[in-house]
Amino acid sequence: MGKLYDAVMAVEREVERKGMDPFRARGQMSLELGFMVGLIDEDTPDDDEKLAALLKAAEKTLGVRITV
Amino acid sequence: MSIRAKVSLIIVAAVVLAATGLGWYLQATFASNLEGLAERAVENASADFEAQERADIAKLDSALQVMLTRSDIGELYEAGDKQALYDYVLPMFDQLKEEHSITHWYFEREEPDSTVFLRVHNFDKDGDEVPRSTYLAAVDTKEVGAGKDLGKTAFALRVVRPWYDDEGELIGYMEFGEEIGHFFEGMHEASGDDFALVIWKGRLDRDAYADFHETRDTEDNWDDYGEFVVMDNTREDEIILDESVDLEGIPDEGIVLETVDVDDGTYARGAFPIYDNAGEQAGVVFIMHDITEVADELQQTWTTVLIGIAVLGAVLLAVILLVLNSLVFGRLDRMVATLEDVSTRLLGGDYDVEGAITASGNDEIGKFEEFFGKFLDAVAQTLKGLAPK
Repeated sequence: MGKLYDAVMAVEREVERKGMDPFRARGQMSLELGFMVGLIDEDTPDDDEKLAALLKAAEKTLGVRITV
Repeated sequence: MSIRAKVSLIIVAAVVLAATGLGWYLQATFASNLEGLAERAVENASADFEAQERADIAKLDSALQVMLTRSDIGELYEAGDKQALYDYVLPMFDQLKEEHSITHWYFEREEPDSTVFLRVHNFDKDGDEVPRSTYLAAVDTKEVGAGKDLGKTAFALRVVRPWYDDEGELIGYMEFGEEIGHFFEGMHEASGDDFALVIWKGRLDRDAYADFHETRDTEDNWDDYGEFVVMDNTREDEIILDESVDLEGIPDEGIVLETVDVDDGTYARGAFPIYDNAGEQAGVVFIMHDITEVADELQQTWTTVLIGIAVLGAVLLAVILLVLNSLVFGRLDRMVATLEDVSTRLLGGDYDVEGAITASGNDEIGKFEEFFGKFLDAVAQTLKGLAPK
């Protein structure tokens, strides 16, 4: 598993913890990122640029800083 | 700026423009009505003046014919005793003056002498010739000579008839006259309109005019009105006069001048030319017709209509905006909200979007909603196939 997938998992946990609508939360982050968060799986290769963008979008959408 | 704001602005501008145009049209119509009213007032005054002239000629002629049958007066005249004739007819003249506004009574010798034997209205003056058109017409035709004659000091209506003795021999001429001012008093009383008569100075005699006013102990107004003299005026002020008008260029049917507002109301003004018996223009009659009631009524109507237009415009505007909001903008707002929500959820992995977007009507917006719903469903099914299991 790569860092990108770990970050997605961390985001999922945070969404669940906050009781947010997971589809809406992921959708908003995808709009920020320009690619679908849901299409990232454990085989998706790491990409530092995508990872940075994901963390930034997560912070903006969820209001918390995600660390991986 | 949103489409809603742009469309609203265009509609507001269109309604305001239409209301302004309608208001302008109404104002122009009301102004035209007032001018028409003023034109009719001038036409009526001109016609009344002519009718008054005809009636007064008939009156003077009737009185004259009665006097011409009086052998007692004829005997005194033929005796050549001016004082005796004067003493005898003076009470009659006073009565005629009192009851019929007859202000001039002449006894004129037959031709070739053709001089004045007696002016009952001015005993001291006699022996002169009176080559006025009315007198000359009576001499030429041996019938009645009648009409408006401009003397040295005043404009008067005169009727002259040849005078025959019992044997049918011409012994002279008798003439009755009345000052035109009497016309205006009568017309003013009948119609309520005001009148002023102005005469060209060139048609009058300055010295005689000064003497005339000195004798009557009235104000000599020779220098008050440029090239003209105001002979009669039924108003106390001179608002009826308009010095800017080319008095020589006034057509026979008259003209309408500017409406004036004075303390006691709104008045239409006009003028028509006045001719002497020889057909030469001697001056102008100004008329002032009270249109206060009509002007106020029109103003009130105009104000009411304007308020009506404003209210109607506001209601129309509200209805148009409500209808537009209901048929277009409200639906667009709801459609945008739904599309944003469904699209966001789709990106978040909610692929069950079939039926999430339904057509809200069988029109342009409804067709777009139907199309986009199918498109999103197709995208959702494709993404669902790509998503990790």
